[in-house]
Amino acid sequence: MVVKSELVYKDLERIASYEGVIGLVLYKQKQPSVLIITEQLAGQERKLGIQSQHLLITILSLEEFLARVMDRDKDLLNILKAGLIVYDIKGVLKSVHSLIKQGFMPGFNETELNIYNEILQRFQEVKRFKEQALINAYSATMDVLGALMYFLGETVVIPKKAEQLFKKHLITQGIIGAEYYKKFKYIYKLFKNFEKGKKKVITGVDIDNALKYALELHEQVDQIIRKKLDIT
Amino acid sequence: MQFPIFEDFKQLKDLEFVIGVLFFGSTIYEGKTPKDSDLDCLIILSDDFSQSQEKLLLNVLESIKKSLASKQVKLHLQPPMTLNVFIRRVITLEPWIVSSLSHGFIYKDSSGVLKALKNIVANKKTRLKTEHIDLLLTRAYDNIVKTRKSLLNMITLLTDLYLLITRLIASRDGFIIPDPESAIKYLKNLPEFESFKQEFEDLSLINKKFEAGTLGEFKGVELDEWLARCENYFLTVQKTILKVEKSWL
Repeated sequence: MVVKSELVYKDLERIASYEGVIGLVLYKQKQPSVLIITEQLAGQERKLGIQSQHLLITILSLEEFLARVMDRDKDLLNILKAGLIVYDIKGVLKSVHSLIKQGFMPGFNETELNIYNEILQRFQEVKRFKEQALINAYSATMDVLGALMYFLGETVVIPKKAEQLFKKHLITQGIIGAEYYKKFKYIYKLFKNFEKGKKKVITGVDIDNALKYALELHEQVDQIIRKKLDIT
Repeated sequence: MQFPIFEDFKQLKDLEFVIGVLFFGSTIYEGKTPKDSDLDCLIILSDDFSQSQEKLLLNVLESIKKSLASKQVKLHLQPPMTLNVFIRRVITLEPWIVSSLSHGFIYKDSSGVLKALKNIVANKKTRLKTEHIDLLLTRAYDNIVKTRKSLLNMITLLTDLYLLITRLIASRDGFIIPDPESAIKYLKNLPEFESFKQEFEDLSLINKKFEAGTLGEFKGVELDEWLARCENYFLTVQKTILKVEKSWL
């Protein structure tokens, strides 16, 4: 908004010097206008006879102004959004202006954009959660396998060798049932496909299965170790 | 073990505050040339490592990285840790630290601590072994349980999504929607959103059960179902907004 007249600014300076005037917003509709915020009730201020030959004047007391902000008076808020705050001794105008700009006032594009972005963020959070859930199930599985291998005197140091180790040491030696190898393989493949970008979307079923199988593997390995250590 | 690329790390040997350098990972374990592969490295610093030394270390690491990059080797550097942190993490049997120490290659060990710890870990003393197994099993179990609990938290996130989507329409009318109850109330005035209002009510009930601690489980498959409903609601709201905007034009 551009109001270039020097006379307008002189008028604004004069208005700001009135006792009780705490804020001025210069705006332009059909003609240059000023919104005056006063400490006192507007009626009393009007009696003071604030006049201008170059500006259309609207006077609101601070209480009236805030009440209209609370009512989300679109006209008033639009003045604040598009207008130029030329005087703001209490800082209230700047606060409300920044609320609009930051998208906290309903009915403004900024607000809708804020909400829109928040919605997209939440969808992303769900996506990230599902990915993390798979990572957790995989880590748990590798820990379970690591525990069993360590118990048998081996160590899983390279995840890509885990599948081979599982088969060589656990299935062929009859330490664990073949059905657990299938469960392990399911989690391992699911994670590796996700890691390599072959699987783009993790579904709820993937998570349910991965967590279920990881827990079953944990229970089985825990049982095997306890049995061998003779811990009841 | 000697790789030609270890030459690039020579500068680290000259830095007094670098107590230890450990190489680990598949490149080391399999003894292959780390071309097109990552070289994992952990740097252990003296306990009185200062900020002024940090700059020097970063410069040296930068020059090593550059030199390795010219040989197509990617350095995968773990965040450096001080000696006391390293010892603490070995004592608490942090799996990757123990594994790296057991199977990795100690390039520098000015205090002799790394070699000593490696021997202790390698001897697999019974108590250490049982503790390690316990640690792995407990961590695995906690991970599964924690993830299942986090699934329950998704109900709050879904409720939040329904609330935000409702706020998007309400904002058009200048309404502020503070909570799910107000959102459902607001939707009652919009017949075209009747089905979404119903869904929101159902989800709010589930959320209330979750908050009261009476909801036992929330499965991944349920998460997907609710997510699909949410996406449909969001899409419908966007279409409605677009329709209104077009009518203005």
